[in-house]
This record gives sequence, C-alpha cells and structure tokens, in this order.
Amino acid sequence: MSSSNIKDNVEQMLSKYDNKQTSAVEGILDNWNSDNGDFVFPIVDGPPGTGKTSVGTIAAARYILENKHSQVGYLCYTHYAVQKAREDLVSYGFPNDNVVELHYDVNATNWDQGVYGCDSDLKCASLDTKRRLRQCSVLLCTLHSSRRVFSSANRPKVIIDEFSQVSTPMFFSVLHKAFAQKGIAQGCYPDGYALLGDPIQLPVISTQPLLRPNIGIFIMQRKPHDNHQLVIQHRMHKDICEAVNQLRNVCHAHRIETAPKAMQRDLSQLGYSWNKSKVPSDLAEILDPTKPLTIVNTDKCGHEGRIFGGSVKNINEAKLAVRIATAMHEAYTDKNGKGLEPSILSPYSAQIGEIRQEIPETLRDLISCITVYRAQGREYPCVIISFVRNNEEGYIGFLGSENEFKEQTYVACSRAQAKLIVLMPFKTFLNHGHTEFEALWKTKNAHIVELQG
Amino acid sequence: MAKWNYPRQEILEQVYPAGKPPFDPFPNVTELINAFHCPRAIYHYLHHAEEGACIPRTATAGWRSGETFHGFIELVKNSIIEGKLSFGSKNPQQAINYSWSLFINSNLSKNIEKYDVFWKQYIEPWIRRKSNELASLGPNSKNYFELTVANTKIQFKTIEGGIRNYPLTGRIDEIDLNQKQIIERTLRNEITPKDYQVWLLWKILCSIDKSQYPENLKDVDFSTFDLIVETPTTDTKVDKINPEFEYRTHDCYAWIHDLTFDPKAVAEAYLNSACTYENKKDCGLSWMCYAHKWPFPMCRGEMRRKFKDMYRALLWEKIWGYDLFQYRFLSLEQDKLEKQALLCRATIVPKSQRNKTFQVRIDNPLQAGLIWAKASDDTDRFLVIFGNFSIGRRHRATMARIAPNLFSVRIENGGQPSLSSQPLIATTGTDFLVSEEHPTYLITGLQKDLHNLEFRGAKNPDRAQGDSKIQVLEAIFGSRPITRGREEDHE
Repeated sequence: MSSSNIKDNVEQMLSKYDNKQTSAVEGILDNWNSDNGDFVFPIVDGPPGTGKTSVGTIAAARYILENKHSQVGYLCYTHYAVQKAREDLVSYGFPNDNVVELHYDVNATNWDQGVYGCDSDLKCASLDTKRRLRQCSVLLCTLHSSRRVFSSANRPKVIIDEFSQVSTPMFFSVLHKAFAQKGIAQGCYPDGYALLGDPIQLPVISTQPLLRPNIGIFIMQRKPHDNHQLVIQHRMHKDICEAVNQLRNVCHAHRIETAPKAMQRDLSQLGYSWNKSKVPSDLAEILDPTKPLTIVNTDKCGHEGRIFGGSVKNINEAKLAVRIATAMHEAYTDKNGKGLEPSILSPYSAQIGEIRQEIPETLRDLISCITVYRAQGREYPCVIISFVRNNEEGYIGFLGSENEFKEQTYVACSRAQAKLIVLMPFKTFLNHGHTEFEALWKTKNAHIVELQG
Repeated sequence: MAKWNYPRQEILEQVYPAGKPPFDPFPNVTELINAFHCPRAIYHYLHHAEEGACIPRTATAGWRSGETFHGFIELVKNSIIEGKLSFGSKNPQQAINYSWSLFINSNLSKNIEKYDVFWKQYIEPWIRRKSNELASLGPNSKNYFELTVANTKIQFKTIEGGIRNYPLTGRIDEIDLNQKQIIERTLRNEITPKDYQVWLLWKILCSIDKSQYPENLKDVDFSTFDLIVETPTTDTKVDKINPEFEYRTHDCYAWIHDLTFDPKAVAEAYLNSACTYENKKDCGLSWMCYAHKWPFPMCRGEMRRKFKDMYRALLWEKIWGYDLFQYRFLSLEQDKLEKQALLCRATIVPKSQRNKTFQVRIDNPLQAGLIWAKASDDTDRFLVIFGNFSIGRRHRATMARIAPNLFSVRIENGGQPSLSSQPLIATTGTDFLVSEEHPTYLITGLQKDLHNLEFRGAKNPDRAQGDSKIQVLEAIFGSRPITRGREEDHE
C-alpha cells in the first residue's frame, strides 16, 4: 500500500478522534526541544478502552508520514502489547515487513509476519538485514529487549506504551541502552519520548516501595506536569463502565464517559443470540443478556484453600466459573452458529490452574482462562472473574486497598465489553472496609444474584 | 557482625514479602571472591551488578573468554565420553579443531579471526598438555560439569578458635570422580583468586549432608579430592588446609552483610580499597573506580542521589526473590515443596530431544495445572534441575503445554543439554525437578544499566544541548522545565 493510502487511513482515524485524543497525538509529534526552552515529554493518561494504543500508533504513523526517512521505536512491557500495536499499524496500511517486531528468539524470524529474531546487539544480523531494519518505519520491541531498537535505528521517536508497569529504573535502563549503542558517537539520538498508559492500572511489581511508582508518576512527582487525559471509552457497555468509574473514584482518578456506540453494547448488540432453553435454570439469572453487570454472591462456595508459597484457590468457585462459562458457550451463538467464547480471569495462578483442569477437554481452546495480570491490554465480549477469597474474617490478601495489587480488580472489570460476571462472597468482601469491592457492589444497575445451594 | 542472620520459619513461608529483608543474603562464591579481592569490588558487585573485578580483559575474546574456554572443554570431554568424538589415527588437535569451529559457530560468534588467536593461545596448549588424559576418557568416565552446589550452613573456623556458619552457593567447573579432582579453570597465569574459589566450592561440597547427595554420588567422599586450578598451560594443586582462607572468609561475609544493609558501609569500603589512583591494581573495574565524569548532564549529582537508593532497593528485591528462594529450597523438605507445587517432578519422554528442546511428563494434576498457568506467559521462565538443590545442574528453560500432562521444555542457557549424561545425577531414574525461576538477571540488568548511565554524558555544551538523552535527564533531574507538548484548542 502506498503512503497516500496510509495517509487516507490515518486521516480517517483522526477524523473520528475526540479533542483529547487529537491533542495527545499532536503532543507526541511535537519536537522535544521546544522554542521556549521546555523539554517536551508528553504523558498520555488513557483509562481502559479510551484508545491509548490507537493514539500511540496513529502518532507513530503521522510521524513517519511527516518526516522523511524517519523511524519510530515502539516499546511495550509485554509481547502481547507489541503485537497489538503492530496489528494497528498494519491495519493503517503499513506493509508487514515495514513495521517489524524485534524478538529475543532468533528462531522467531518471519519477515512476512513482521518478526525478526536477533541478539541484542544485532551481531548476527547480516549487513543486508541491518540495512533492511534501518529502512523499516516502525521497530517494535519489549522494554527489556529495547537494545535491539537502538542497535537498528539512529534517531527514532521513542513511544512507550503501558507505562504503568514501567518502573523508574527500567526507563533509565532504556535510556542507557540508547546511550550505549556502539558505532555511533554518543550513542543513538532518540527524537523525543512519549509515555502512554493508565497510571492506576497494574503496577510495577516490586517488594520495594521505592521502586513501585511507575516512570509517569516519578516524573510527575518531580516536576509539575499536565498530562493528556483521555476520557471517552469505546469498549464497555455503560453499566460496566459505571462499575469501572466506581473503582476509579476510589483511586481518585477522573471519570470516564462511554462513547455513544458502546452505550448499549450487550451481547445481543455484539451479534450473539441466546437460547434460554439451553441454560440450566439455576444459571439463567446470571446469564441474562439484559444484565451486563452481574455480581454473584458465592458465600456458599466454601472456604478458600491456601497453596503454600503464594497462591490461593477455591475449588467450588472454580467449578462454578467453569459451569457458567460452559453454559455461556452453549447458550450464546453468533450468526454463524458459533458459540460465544467467554473468558475467565482470576488474580491467583493456583485458581487458574484449578479452573483449567476443570474445563472439559473439548472446550479448552474455546474458554480462555488467564490471570488478571496477563489480561492487561486485552478485551473480551464476556468476562467471568473469580476472586477466590472466601473466609469469615474478611481477609482478601493483596486484593485489599492498602496493598499494591489492588488494581487487579480494576483491570479485571475493565476487560469486559458486553457482559461482566463477578464471583465473590459478600461475607468476605463487604463490610470489612474493602472500599473497591463495596463501590463495585453499589454500582448503579449492578444485578446482584444470590447463589442457591 | 554478631552472626549470620537466617530467615525464620514464618519468613520462609511468608507469602508477600516487602521492604528490608529481615535476614542476611545467601551469597554465592563470586561474591566472596570479589569481597576477597577488594571491598569496592564487592560494593560494585552487590549494588551495580558489576562482576568484572577478577576477570581479566584479554585481548582476544573479551569478558566471557573464561566461559568460552571452559565451555569448549566441557563439550570436548562430553563428546569423547559419549562416543561422538574419537581420535582414531587422527591427530587430536585436528579432530578437536573441527569441534572448535562448530562450537564457535553455534555460539553465534562471527569473529573467527579473534577465535583463531584464542585457539592458538589457549586451546592448543591445553590439548597438547591433556592429550593423554583425553585419550583415556570413555564410557566409564564420570566427569560432571557446571554442577551448582549449595548449603545453608557451612562451617568456617574463626581466628579465636571458634566456628561460624554461613550459607553459600557456587558452580563447579568440573568434578572428575575417576581422578578424584575438583577443577576450576582460568585463563590467567596467576591462580589467585581461583584457588580461593575452588577451596570454597570444596567446602560447600564437604558440608552437604550425605542424605542430600544424588544417588550416584552417595558413596563419594569429597574430603579426599584434590583441588585443581587449571590454566591452559599449568595445573596447580591447592592446599585444603588453609587458615588464611578460613579467616578471611569472615571478613568477606562481614562486607557483604554491611554493604547490603548499612549505607555507611559504602564509605568504609572506599576507605579500605585494595588500590589507589596512583597505585592501581590489575582489576577489571579500575575504569569504574577512577572514571572521568563528563560535565553534562549537569544534574548528575541529583541523578546519582536518586539512583543510589534504587541500587539498594534493587539489591533487596533480589534478596527477597532469589536469596529467599535458595534458603527456602534448601531448608524445607522436598516433599512439602512438591506438595505445594513450588517444585514439580517431571519425567523425560524418551527419544523426544531435538537440540535444546525435549518433552516431559508431569503426572501430578495440580502441578501440571500450575505449570500450564505459568507456562502460558511468555515472560515466565523455569528452572530445570538435574539432581537437587544441594547438588545439581541447573538450566533456565521455557515450557509449553502439549497435552494435559505433557510439556515441551526448551533450555535457554548453558548450551544443548546432554540428556544421556545428565540424568546420571538425577534423583531417580530420568526424573528431574522444575521450579519457577526468579528473573534475577532482569534486576541485575537494571542495576548495571543505571550505573553505566551515570558515566554517560558529553563534554561539549552544544552537543549536550542537542542530545535528547542528556536533555531528558536535565528535564527530570535538573532545572529544565518539562511540558506535555503543544496546546491547541480543538473545542
């Protein structure tokens, strides 16, 4: 596809953007060395579904279109985020071999799919390959592997996505990698930097309080900085968005609004029809498509089981999650008769292990089941969350407000587009000062279901 | 230092650690030899992950030359033992030279010229010296390479005549059971500090309870083994009764303890440096101790103050992750660890090996489920152990699920695993152990990058002004204002 096609696509995307998104894109495109002596360092605060990756990739595309022979280094925390950003760029019309993911696995090379596996210094790359990489418009990579980008590009615009997971040392480690590039005097000269992410999403994991503030927060704590706030989300039904806003309110973050097209986004609107006769009677209320946000009281699921060394599981809640997911798959079909593929999320890997063993072998590829941590950056039509904890004392471990992983609740709830089913025992999560869960429970239009038997 | 502080039982079983570790680190042999070399070297090692103090910078192969030397000897010896390499009527040098060319190609090095020099300088003299020994190797030879040994309580005599216990772990280059030798290799002509290193490794081996020995080593008495430091041209036997090593070990542990927890110890370490600017020692880190600092960025002082706290935080992070992991796996019973799925027992599927990949079966459903959950994440790594935590060969690996209890394992370091020889030291039959790996290498990478960033900069103000890397530092740590970019009214 020619650059004029890419330009058309980018302009078409930009025409759909709201003011905040457009302003964020322009901030990223600005020269880092402003005329009045300020250093331009845009930080884009993009809550779930507000299109922060889209803002990042559109900014990257415009930068390429507006600057001849330019390159963008697009850095993400996970490979999944790298792939999503790459897909966006390809959808604007960039050829597959022009937006290339630099991968640590040397066997992963596939130019047709835009992946090049290499060592960190590109020592094994031939001159031809190096030339080819220098001609790529966008080089994508995980932050830990970012040396590869600076070994390939000379003056890339550096865009860092999902900065909530990027610790301060990690950011400076990336900067050092740019400095350390051999063969270029004084290292590689990035043509500016930008951070994209949601500061209250999954945090930097560390045992050390000093290392927990992400780079965005570190910068904002040191210098007055007015970040770009995106406010209109395009992912979730308004009832689910309301639950997310309740959680954001607890974190003192700004409210987000639902775009008109997502207001009534239930499973029917996504093209699924449901056959109530296929639903076990005790699950009918939970599966009801007119109730996008359903909170199930699992008091009767029995107590959690502790796995030594870190994780917790609840066998009965795991069985319930699998029953609901199986019923969803059988009761909801799209226009081609294909069953809905629900996703089960849990903060505990032991519970994920338990749930995976419970899923019938025939459905294992159809019902996804991953930890909340891995779910960041993903979205699903239907999400079932198993919070696992079930005790009389109201102890919810790292999910509690005072702990660093409380954001897991927020991330888990904001993955759902049209149907969110939360499994939690009220005796444990309510009336014990767990403000996030109480706020979630109080969400307007939340449908509360008492589990029978 | 009163005594080494071990983690209490509740710490060993604590789920979510945070803050300052309430126990002392679990040092490795490299840390001890750095502390032995110079207090500043161990400071750089602990806080900045700079480990080059005792490693020479050779003109031929750079930092990892020692590893290349030893790695190739391991390959040659294993190939002869497994019958893959035989000399017949050929000159051993010619036969091994072919293996050398394959070795350097598989290790992704294209700088053949450099490796030709390496061959002539190091490998060739070694082969000339060892040709008889190589010729005597065969299926009955019992040579174990790269075994990791560890124990929580190793006794060292004090100068007052008492005894103190410390934890220690390390990796032995080679154990030759037939010749009763423990071998450490170096490219340097002087054997210090390798003599101390091999002595420490021998102390660990001898301290391990016989019940913890893998089946094939149960009858071996390591206290009678010779300690050898092997260079390309010489073999030197090290004294096992060595009071100086015993006494200096206490100093080394004291430095490790103090530099881990006490900010004032850094100044102490500088005061006790093994060399001065005027009288520099032959040390891989002298460039760092006496480095020239560029005038730009001007905010270097503030940046350094912030980074200083981060180094210690990263060190503590490593202690919570990796050192506690060592204490836990060496202190708690294996059955308990397995029951709780912290450790899984896996069985190799026969004839499933393809280069660095092979298949394993995990029969325990809970363990299989957990490995599946963790294996799905492309950032998770596992530790594959042939043997056990006290004595065993450890590999970093990735795993992927093939069927409910069947996984493929891909070894990520230490070359291609030789499955025909490694299970010799496994706990039972062809079993081995799998555990989740703590990504210490990511933490040390951050420490190293932060520290190296402190040395970067520019001399020329115009150049500094035009360099976005220097300016972003000035903006974050210095006086340059920071802004989000152009403000346009789109309303």
